[in-house]
Amino acid sequence: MLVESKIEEAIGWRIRLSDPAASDEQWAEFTDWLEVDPANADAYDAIALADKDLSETIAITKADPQNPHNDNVPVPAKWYQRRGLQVVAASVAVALLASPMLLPRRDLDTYETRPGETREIALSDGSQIAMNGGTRLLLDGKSNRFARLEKGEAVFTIRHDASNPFVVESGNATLQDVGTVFNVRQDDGSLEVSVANGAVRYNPKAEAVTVAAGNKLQVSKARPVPVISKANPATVAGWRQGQLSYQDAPLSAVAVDLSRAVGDKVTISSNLGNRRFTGVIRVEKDRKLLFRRLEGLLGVRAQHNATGWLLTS
Amino acid sequence: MQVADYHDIHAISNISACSQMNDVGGLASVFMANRDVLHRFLRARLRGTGDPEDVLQDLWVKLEALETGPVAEPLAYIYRMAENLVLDRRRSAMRRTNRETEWTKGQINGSLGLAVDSQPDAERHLLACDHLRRVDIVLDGLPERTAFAFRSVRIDGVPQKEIAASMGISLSAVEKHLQKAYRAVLEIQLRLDAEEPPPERLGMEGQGHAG
Repeated sequence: MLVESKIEEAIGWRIRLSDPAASDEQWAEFTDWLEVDPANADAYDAIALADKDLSETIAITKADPQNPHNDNVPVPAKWYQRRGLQVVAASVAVALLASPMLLPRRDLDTYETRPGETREIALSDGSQIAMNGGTRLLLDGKSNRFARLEKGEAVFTIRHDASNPFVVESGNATLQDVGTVFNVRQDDGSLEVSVANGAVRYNPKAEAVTVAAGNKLQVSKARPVPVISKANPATVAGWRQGQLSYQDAPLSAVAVDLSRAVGDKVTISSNLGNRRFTGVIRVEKDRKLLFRRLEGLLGVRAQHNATGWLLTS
Repeated sequence: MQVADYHDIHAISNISACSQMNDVGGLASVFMANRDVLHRFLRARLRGTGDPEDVLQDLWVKLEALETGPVAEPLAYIYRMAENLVLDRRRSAMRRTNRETEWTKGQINGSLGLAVDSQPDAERHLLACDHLRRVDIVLDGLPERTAFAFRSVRIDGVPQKEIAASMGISLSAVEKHLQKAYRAVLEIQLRLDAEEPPPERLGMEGQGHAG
């Protein structure tokens, strides 16, 4: 039976212990409290289970299997976005939440890879970030739930926690995980987010577009309205296996990927600007072999020069 | 769809260039040094609904499989893992009991009763939406600052200290707001549970909801 007077205490414990700042001393005190009276444990159990149900509810509705959003129409904001920011009295908080730039400076660690180099970062909660070459990533080493992709490309394999979502910032965009494996690339203001597993929410406080598994979102300075299209989940992070997959992609994008993968600058001649490519490129370790194959695959000529490789028609 | 908890760790391969972040040994030794304390916690937490040793073993396996960066509060981190294991066990025991009850009902009614196990995503989603709608209504009935604190902490995952700073109030005042909101919101769930008829006891291993 739930004892009314115990519920308040139980909720208090649930609140304090759910905060990432909870200390082991608090857990020891919690043990004492549980031991004092069996009714305490009953009350806490009921509260904790109900709270966990709420987490699951939030996760399910965020993942939103009913609305895969295969178009570029922003979805209506959900209740927690609609009203979360209405408190006039808490205007400071509004500024804080609406603009991450105004948050007190986080302690961010910088991780950087040179072109051609990759790196994996394991976070304490089991989440994992794989950085492609030529990438700069800032990571909040304390909370482990915030990263900023300054440039380049990375795959985020995030252990989902509805009460403490993982947030990736890139350019002006904010991405929030909804249980997830996703790839983010940032090249000179154009952002591409491909989701292999789960879902990602793009700009949860503004457009709030959900990108479900098997889709990708693209947005750039030239096209500020996010566009969602299909992405093969199996190839979302293909670069990690040395495979670059394309569906009607401009050669300029292929060149950027190749630069990142091989470590040499790859450029295309201006008359290839409109050429597009569909297919899979295997990034061979042997560069000569790679570029010889590319000549056949892309229908181009590859020349090695002082700055790297030049692809011409 | 089950929500993955953090101990469902993805295999991590080839952690190059960041070996200094691998701190598994640290967590393992903290676990060993505090095994008794954790056992005491689990005994108090489980209160006869399970064997603390079982959970400790699960916990050890999870810790060993864990590749982790430095953890600021390693013991608190392990406590939290233990608490999540307890909740997971409780949940699956409840589900098992419900499933067995439904299955038996199905047998009695002459149907196969297979659908219960695989509750369709659509239905689950509808139920979740309904739950959220109720949460929404309840929060709307609360003072705005209370609802704000709850949404920030529970939905946006903002640490309580940051909320306190942004609202210009003390940490314990934040807790008071949260207390009110949690109570209102969780009462929905408790009421939902009460509406459902309790699973009929089958004399099998399923452990019902303690309480």
